[in-house]
Amino acid sequence: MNLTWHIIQKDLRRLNGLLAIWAAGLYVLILAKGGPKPVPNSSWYYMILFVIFSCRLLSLSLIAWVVQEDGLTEGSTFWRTRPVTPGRLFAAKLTLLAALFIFLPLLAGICARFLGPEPETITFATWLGDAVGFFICMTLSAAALAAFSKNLAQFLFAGFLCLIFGFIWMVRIQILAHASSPLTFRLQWISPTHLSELLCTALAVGVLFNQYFGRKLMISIGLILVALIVCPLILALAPGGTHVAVARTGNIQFEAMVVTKAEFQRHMSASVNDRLRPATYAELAALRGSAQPDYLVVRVLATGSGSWDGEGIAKIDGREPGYKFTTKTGVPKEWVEYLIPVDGAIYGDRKEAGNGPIVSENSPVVSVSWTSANQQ
Amino acid sequence: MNIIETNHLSRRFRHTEAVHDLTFAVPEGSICALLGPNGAGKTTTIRLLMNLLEPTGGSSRVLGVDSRRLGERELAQIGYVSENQQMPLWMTVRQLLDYCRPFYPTWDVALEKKLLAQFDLPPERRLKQLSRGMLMKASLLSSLAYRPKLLVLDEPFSGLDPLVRDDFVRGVLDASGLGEWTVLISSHDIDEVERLADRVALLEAGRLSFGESTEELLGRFRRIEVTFSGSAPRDFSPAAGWLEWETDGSLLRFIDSRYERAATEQACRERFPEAAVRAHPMTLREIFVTLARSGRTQPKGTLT
Repeated sequence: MNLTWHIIQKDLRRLNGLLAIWAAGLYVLILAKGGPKPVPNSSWYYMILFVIFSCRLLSLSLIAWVVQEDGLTEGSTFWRTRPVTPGRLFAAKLTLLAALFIFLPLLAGICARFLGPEPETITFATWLGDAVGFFICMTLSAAALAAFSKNLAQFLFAGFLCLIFGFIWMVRIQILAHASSPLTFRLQWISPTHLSELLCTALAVGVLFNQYFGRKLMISIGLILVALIVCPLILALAPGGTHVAVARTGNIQFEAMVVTKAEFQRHMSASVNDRLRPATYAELAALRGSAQPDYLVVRVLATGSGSWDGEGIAKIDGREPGYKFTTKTGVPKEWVEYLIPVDGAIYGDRKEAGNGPIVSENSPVVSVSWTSANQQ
Repeated sequence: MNIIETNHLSRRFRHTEAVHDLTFAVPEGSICALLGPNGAGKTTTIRLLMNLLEPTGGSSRVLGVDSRRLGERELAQIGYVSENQQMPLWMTVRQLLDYCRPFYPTWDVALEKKLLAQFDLPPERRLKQLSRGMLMKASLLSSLAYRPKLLVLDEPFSGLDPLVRDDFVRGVLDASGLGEWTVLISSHDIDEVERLADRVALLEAGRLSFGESTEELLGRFRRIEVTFSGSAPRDFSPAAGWLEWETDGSLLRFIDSRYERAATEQACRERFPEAAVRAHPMTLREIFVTLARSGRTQPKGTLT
């Protein structure tokens, strides 16, 4: 019998109960994705959030249990006095972690993607790249922390400390970067998120190798410190390098229109998939002076990987100076709507501006241009 | 052939030297006891031999291989039982045996069944539900069933009641009788070790005080009683190796650590021509207590 498989079987037997609960959580999420989209703030919505959070926490705990089942930090662990080489143990753990926490969630994600009632907004290849990067980084980083800690409590505490440290460090760097713009840098070939995931994964692999084969505590501490310092640094500094908006518009879809207040109110009480109907000049003219402001609506969707923020200007019928708005899209990957109350003074008077007569059945034309768009 | 050899082996923990310049050897087929008080460095020595710790100086070889390079092949021939060992407590006894079995090409199922019955272990009970003694027996069973060339027992008797100790010792003795097994046992329980060991080494503060066969050690120590017709003399010149002399009326008692019947009688006759001399054998415990009291550590040397 293959001894690596023998170790994997032992770990599966050890964690079978918790793995069943975790798998049930994944299944619920797939089913939820296949059903109607939950209404925000509904009990179903919070239930889904709870399941997502529980699944994530349980998967981190399971990663720690898998690694710590054959502990690396203490000298008298069972496996070290038995004919189990570090290489064989490492192979067994890595295989199990990859199967459970990279392959299975990806499979679940693919199922959910194809089960979903709406067409997805980002391409499959982009989604797959993001998901693979995320799951590999999360699994190996958690495994590295687990290999470094003695038990689950220590692992969770260390993870919490790392998150807090990373967050504070990133905020500090962002403040410094804004005060001194030359500190920022530009990444053209890879997104900052992917770069920091890649670095984090590489360092996690380094920690795991050291814990299994070298057992030099200071090296592991050093690698974890490098990850804690450099990854937030990349995330904090790289977005400071702005990209020309035009070059990035391929990754941002948008719709822009003017709607009446009544249409806006109808839309707000309808389901999330409801589409807005642009107002006609005639409708807008009829409402003028009724103290019912119209709304300029800009809907933005990030279609590329990562999240995007930026600044755009929406002009109604080309009139200057337009309306500035800022965007933040990408997490989650769905339409983000910007609603700007406007009055009728800036449109419907193109005749005066020399742009030809208004056709009352037509709608005002809203153009959007980007002044900046940053990828994160 | 020596199954274990250490060469100036040292291990330092910050400011404490747990093992200092340790050189000894354990020949094949012997049952060697590593004795010493708590903190003497016995467990550290065993952990160095098992590659559970890295030495800060010197080297050691186990089964002919540098202990820092012990691989699957060597570990498949070593049985290790320790009071400090972390066992997979979630497993049942049967699951433990099922898990261990594929790692050992020499696993003997018949011996496993025999020991399971002999140790009276409940196969379906989880290890965490076993008493300490039962847990140690389960650990011993999983370390004996593949007939290891070397069995390493680190403080196996700590906290065990006499019945379990008896089972344990019987298990080790029976097993060692099955083949040319070598056993290294560390303990501060001298009485149990006396039943088992044919060689002893004494560690004190990380240093080897002496190491020799039990037979030689028991042979060279005698409690001597000299009876005088009047009062025993308080002032005399002791021969080399005489320890802890004391007088009680007409009786003079001392311990001869270099006992040889003719030589001791001759030495006594020269000093006390009119007195009657009797020599009493000593137990290992008495010998160690004597050595600890006298602070004598001779003869220093290697256990070969």
